[in-house]
Amino acid sequence: MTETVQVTLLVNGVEHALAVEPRLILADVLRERMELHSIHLGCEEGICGACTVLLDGEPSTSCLILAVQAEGRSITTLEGLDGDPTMTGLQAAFHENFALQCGFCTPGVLVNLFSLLEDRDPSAPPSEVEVRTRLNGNLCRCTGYQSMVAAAMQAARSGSGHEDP
Amino acid sequence: MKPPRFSYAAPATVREATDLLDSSGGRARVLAGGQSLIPMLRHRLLEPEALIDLRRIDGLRDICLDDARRLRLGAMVTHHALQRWASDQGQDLLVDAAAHIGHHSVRAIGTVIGSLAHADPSAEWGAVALVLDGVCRVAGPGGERELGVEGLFTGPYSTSLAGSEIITSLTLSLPPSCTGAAFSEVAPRPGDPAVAGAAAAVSLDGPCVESARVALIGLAPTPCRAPSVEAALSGSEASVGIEAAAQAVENDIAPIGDIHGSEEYRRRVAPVVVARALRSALVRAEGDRP
Ligand SMILES: Cc1cc2nc3c(=O)[nH]c(=O)nc-3n(C[C@H](O)[C@H](O)[C@H](O)COP(=O)(O)OP(=O)(O)OC[C@H]3O[C@@H](n4cnc5c(N)ncnc54)[C@H](O)[C@@H]3O)c2cc1C
Ligand code: FES
Ligand code: FES
Repeated sequence: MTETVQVTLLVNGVEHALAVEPRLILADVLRERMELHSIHLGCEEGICGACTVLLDGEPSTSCLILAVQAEGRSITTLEGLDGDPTMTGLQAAFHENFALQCGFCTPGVLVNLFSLLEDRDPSAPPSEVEVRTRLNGNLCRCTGYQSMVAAAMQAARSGSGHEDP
Repeated sequence: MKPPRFSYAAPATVREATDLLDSSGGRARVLAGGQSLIPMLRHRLLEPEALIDLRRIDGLRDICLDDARRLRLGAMVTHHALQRWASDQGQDLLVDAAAHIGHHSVRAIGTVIGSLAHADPSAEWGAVALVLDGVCRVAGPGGERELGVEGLFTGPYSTSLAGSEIITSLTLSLPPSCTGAAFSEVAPRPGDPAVAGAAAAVSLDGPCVESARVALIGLAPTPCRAPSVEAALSGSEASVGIEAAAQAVENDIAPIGDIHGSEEYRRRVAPVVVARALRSALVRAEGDRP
């Protein structure tokens, strides 16, 4: 016998009414039920950052949040940032700087860095220390971080990709 | 692993929450940010019958400072919210300590009071609350009581709270003028649990230390004060007394060795973190003179 509760989750701007077990983890709802496959699960204990989403705009590891806890809050995954100018600029910088290899960590890294760069004035970009401190929340077994830091700094300097390509 | 099955409630008042805890007969748990509780559930270290989520209760996210420089934090104030408040207000000790807690995502959801209730011997807020004379407001089925942080911790991951009690707020006494406060820790990497850490508040009277409060993490089964260091510093000439006072910390600790640091290593690093915290507290106290 499984007890379920009714929740409404606002994911990427769309409301979803679902019946969930209270123990259901947000990451599992997003990935398995909503098929948002940018949600990767590595450690499932809040360390690797592969499952990072924005919860009311703040990066949060969705593996340590119950679906029921997220009721009434706005959840944004990488899919929800598709086409956003800041994200497009960041993705282009990742491409140019070879800032990913296997790509497992990449969605979480992009979401985390997005929140650092969003609304930043390109004339006052985050420092390298700030970028590296933010990346404390993401484990990458491939790149050695150097190229990711370079990509983030480049994206920050060039603003949010407002200029024409 | 996936967490075990439990039922869930998010009541609207503290009263309802304590009633639910009480009626479960100790088999329910409070859920704040879940940043310690959910990992424990995933490892099946706990199998509660129910989780009582505090998220819908009004007022628990408030941060208020009164005229006597007492800072009151509600149970759902996140590490991040306090960090932001502290950096706006120039509260260096709080800013120092917050920066060591996990990474950005943990701080965005985890709460200060959840950290105290979790009672990790290495938790930064434990030392901060001891130095700032933290007092918890505790609600239970029989009413409310006050509990000094010193009386909260009873051992690693254990507290004197009854199963039906909730900490609704924490009051910290912010340092008065001519006082500098700082936090320092040693950890394998930034954001990792501290091997050893110290919070210090030093008040000056001319060139001498009028009074000092020092608290430690990672150096005993619970966060603890360092009375020998405090006594060695009081009345001493600040600039010369620090190193000797820091050495006195060996009388105040009972470290437990683990994979992050052996008992011996913790003993050696204890005076180092104490001296670092005292030195920056002193610089700040000097800068704070009228
Ligand atoms: C990757 C990672 C790194 C971390 N690094 C650090 C670190 O460096 N330093 C550090 O201090 N912490 C660290 N933490 C833990 C983090 O600070 C947690 O936020 C904190 O320990 C618990 O707060 P919470 O709000 O998440 O509480 P929860 O996880 O919801 O609860 C923790 C415990 O406290 C009880 N509880 C919570 N609130 C109350 C209340 N108001 N009254 C009574 N009982 C209550 C719960 O029942 C539970 O037993 C880390 C966590 C993660 C996932
Ligand atoms: S899977 Fe969530 S942080 Fe690793
Ligand atoms: S690119 Fe492979 S883990 Fe980061």
